[in-house]
Amino acid sequence: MFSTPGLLYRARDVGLQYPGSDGQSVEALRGVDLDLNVGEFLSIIGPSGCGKTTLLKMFSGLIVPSHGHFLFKGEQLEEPPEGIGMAFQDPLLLPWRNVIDNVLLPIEVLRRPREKYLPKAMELLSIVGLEGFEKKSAWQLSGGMRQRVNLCRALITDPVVLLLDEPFGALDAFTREDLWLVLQELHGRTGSTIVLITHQLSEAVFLSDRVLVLSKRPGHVIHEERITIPKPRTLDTALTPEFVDHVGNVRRRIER
Amino acid sequence: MRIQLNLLTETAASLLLAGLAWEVLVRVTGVPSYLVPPPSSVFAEASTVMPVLAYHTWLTISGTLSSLVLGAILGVVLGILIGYSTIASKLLYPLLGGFHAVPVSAFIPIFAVWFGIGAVPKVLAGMLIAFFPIAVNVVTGLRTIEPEFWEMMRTLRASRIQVLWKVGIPRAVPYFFASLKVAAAGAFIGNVVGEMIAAGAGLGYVLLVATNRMEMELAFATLIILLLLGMLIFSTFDALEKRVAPWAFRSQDNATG
Repeated sequence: MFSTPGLLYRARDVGLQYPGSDGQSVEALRGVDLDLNVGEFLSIIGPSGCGKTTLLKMFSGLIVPSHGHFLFKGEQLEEPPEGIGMAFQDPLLLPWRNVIDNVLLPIEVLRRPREKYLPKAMELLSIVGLEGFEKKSAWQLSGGMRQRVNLCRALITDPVVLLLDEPFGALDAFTREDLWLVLQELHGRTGSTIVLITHQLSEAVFLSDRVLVLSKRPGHVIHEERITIPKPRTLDTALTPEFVDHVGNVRRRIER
Repeated sequence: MRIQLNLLTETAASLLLAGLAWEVLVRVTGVPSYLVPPPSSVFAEASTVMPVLAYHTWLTISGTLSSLVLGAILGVVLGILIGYSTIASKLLYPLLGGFHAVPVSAFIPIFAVWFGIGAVPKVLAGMLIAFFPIAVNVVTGLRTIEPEFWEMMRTLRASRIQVLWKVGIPRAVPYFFASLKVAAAGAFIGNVVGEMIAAGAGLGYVLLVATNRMEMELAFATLIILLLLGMLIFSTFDALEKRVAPWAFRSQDNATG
């Protein structure tokens, strides 16, 4: 349908209506337009119930829009395509497995050779600061460590795009900031495209190349904030006037 | 180790106290011993017929274990079927509930007609009680897989069988072991009832014969053995449960930081 180099996703006039539990039809999204380039870090922010998670599920192919076009590599998504990595707020580790076996779960599911991916798993674990924890049982880890393992598991397959649904929402502020740096490092090293759903303004600005603000339900894009602060960013970056300006711009657009 | 020792001494102490209170009560109130014999004469009777009681005790234990093994196999198979397949769930689940609600003693005479008086009817009766909690718990273990997990597996294009194998079954393991102590108690009940109705041997049979003959010392001795067996069964499977899947018990403690 199009052949723009570097363009990974394109959404045009995307809407989603589905029958609600009371028989009335629910309209989650209406008229969403967006583009996403390869290697870009995009955050989507908006009031709760605005359809952020629904939109993320469209990126993954788990939900198909009832209106408009949602294209991945130029083709309408009908089902999850190859090359998707996902991570949620709940790390969803398998507690009976150790760290390395949790990271390698997608490899098993895809029936790829485990030995081939073992070095990659070790490398990812060392990037997120979990070197030496390979054999620890998942249930023995702290919340922050579990979320690190979760990120490694999402990245083990070398996904084209990494979809994150409020991955740090349940963590304390310090752990969260640590993980921003971890995620930035992972983005820099793997070069994968990342879509992040969050309700934290500074998180969105810190990590992203672009922040999209969604309106109240039915959600559509009402503001696009390009974050031009050079990368890699440090935690001190969050104190610069430039950063604070970006946060302010986004905050003013959010409908309450 | 120390905890187990404590448990043992505590149990012994509570049994000893109960026995003592019983002896005192019987003597003080003057209840005739053909209704409630004092523990001293119960023990005297028990020691004279010890080999006979031991034989019948063994029959009850072996019957209970057979019921439990069969019930576990049936329960796991049905649980996986119901937890995995929506059709099986719709067809089987109500039937299962119905089966469980019917008193097991209603089935025993029919089993006796089919298989004759002996071990088979009581083992089947025990199995019928035992499989139900196991099946229900396995279903719960399989059905409580988080929806987000299913989504993640779907983006990896995993099949339902793969999710069942890698996630569902390991998840159901602690549920299975938790159900075992309930199931074991059920197997025990089924066997004792079965022995009273259609066996000709076992502790239930001994109890029935003893009360028919008004041999209350023997009846009470049997009852005490049943009580001790019940305690043994429960504590054994309780300990097993905690040993098999430690992650199912301790994950709460480590959820912070």
